[in-house]
Amino acid sequence: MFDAGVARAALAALALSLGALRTGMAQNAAEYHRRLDSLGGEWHAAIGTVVKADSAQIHALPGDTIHAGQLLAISDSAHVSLARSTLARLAPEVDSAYGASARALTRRPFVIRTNERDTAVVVTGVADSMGVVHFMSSDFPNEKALTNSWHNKLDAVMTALSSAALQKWLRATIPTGTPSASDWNSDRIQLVLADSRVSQTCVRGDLTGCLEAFSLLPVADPAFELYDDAGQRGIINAHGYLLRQSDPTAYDACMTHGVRAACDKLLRSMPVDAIPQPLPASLRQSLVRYALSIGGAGAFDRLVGTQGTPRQQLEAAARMPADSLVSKWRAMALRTRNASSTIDVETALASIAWAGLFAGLSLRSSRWR
Amino acid sequence: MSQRPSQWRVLLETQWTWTRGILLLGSIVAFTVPLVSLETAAGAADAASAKEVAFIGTMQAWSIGYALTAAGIGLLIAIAAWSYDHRLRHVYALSLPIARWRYVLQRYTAGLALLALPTLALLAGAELAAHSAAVPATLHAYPLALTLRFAFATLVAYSIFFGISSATARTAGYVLGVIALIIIAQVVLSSAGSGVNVIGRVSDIVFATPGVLAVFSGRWTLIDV
Repeated sequence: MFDAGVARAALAALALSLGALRTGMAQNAAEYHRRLDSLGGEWHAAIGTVVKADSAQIHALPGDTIHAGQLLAISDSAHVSLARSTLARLAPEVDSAYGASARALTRRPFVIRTNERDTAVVVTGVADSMGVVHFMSSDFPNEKALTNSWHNKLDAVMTALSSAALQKWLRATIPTGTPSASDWNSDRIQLVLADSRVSQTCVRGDLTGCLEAFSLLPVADPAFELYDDAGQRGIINAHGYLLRQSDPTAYDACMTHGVRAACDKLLRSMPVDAIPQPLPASLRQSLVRYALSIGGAGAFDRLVGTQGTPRQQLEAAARMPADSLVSKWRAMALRTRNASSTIDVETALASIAWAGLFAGLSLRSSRWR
Repeated sequence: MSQRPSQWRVLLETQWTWTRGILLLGSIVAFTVPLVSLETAAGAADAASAKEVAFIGTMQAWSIGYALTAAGIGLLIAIAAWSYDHRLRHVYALSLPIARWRYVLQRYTAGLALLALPTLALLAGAELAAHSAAVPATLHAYPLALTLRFAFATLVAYSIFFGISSATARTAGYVLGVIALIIIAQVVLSSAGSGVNVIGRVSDIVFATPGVLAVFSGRWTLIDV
């Protein structure tokens, strides 16, 4: 990204600015602000140079610009074929998953180029309209690995189209595609083993508990309404380093002697954002994916295009009330059943082989001779 | 005219006579472990807020109970299969018009057949526990998988100790010698300030699949998510 020339230019600009600042120690406030503005200008100029250099680097890539549906890739000559086949795999999925919103991808080309330091991998990313490459990663140069990597990049790019409220609630990317049996199984395990009070009431069929667990109902005091005593102690323990420093007496009273008032005091001293969500982000992702899958055509457009709370956005995407959506999601998750992990084929076969070996050795024994 | 019982059946009957006490006790323990684990898990779940987590955790804690039961039954049946031969200096076996390997095979398979009893007892106990109302509706029971694991663990334990018991004293000495050597190596290395964990590495090899004792480690969960 930063080549040597650009780095030198930025450093020179910074050094000049700092020098100018140093000679003006006795300046008045107006002079100080003028010089600060000057420093800002130099800084922005340096950043502009870097951006132009990156952009130039992208557009200087040899090879073709490849199109497939709404997708675009810029590749060096060595990876044109790989980029083309990967886009061909992704394009149909993009059209069905993102609807009209997929048009945004025409301004966000994938970039793939040879990694000069390690030829076993390629460098890929997504360029923005300024030509700056984001979400850079090193990927194995095969279609499967690249499809997986670019799929994740697509999720990240498209999530950025959603509202800040939805992104803050989700704390992860918006997943697409139909959830598999394995996805549901994973969801069920996470739901059943989540240890907040509301997640447990959700497991037992309380729909309000499910909505609270998904943070789709307003909760005034999350530490006290979403968690029971054990959960609250877990939160205090998780933030023990800071809480012990801020109020050692209350911390000891709570954690050592179980004084309720001390625990309450510590919990109330914590900002609301520090209280963990009752369910992991992966389950909120699962709910969003389910809403998109049952919402039919245009679900993603409605999700990112609706103004309001995450609940209203989910309702728009799924075209049903949030309580129905969550109820259906819960039923789907709890319906799955995984195979037992108690015994696997490898262990069974190994046991038979070892038993056979010892039996064979005993047959060869010459104890009575 | 009455038909003479086969030689294998005679061996089976004699081994049954020698081991029926052990088998009865082992079967009772195998039948009881799932029921006791269910009882304690239900109690732990009642006292916890995250009921499923507490339930599964307690069931998981009983893994050692299943593993020890399987190992104990395998060990005792294997040793009992050879105890009279050793005591009588193999006179009975030598008097039979039969090759040594055939005699050993019949002893081995007769012991295997007897191991079916505690295995079936475990299955009965596990099935009873699995259908109990104390199992949370959100969890699933795997009585058959647990029984399979128990059967394989018993088979491995039985085979190992059968092999050692059937061997000469010198062979048994070699086995003990190797174990002693590992322990001594660990003590010497630790005394010399070395960070090499010989016992840990050997344990990893032995207890991880496809190690000889892999079936004893891992999850022995009757009730799981």
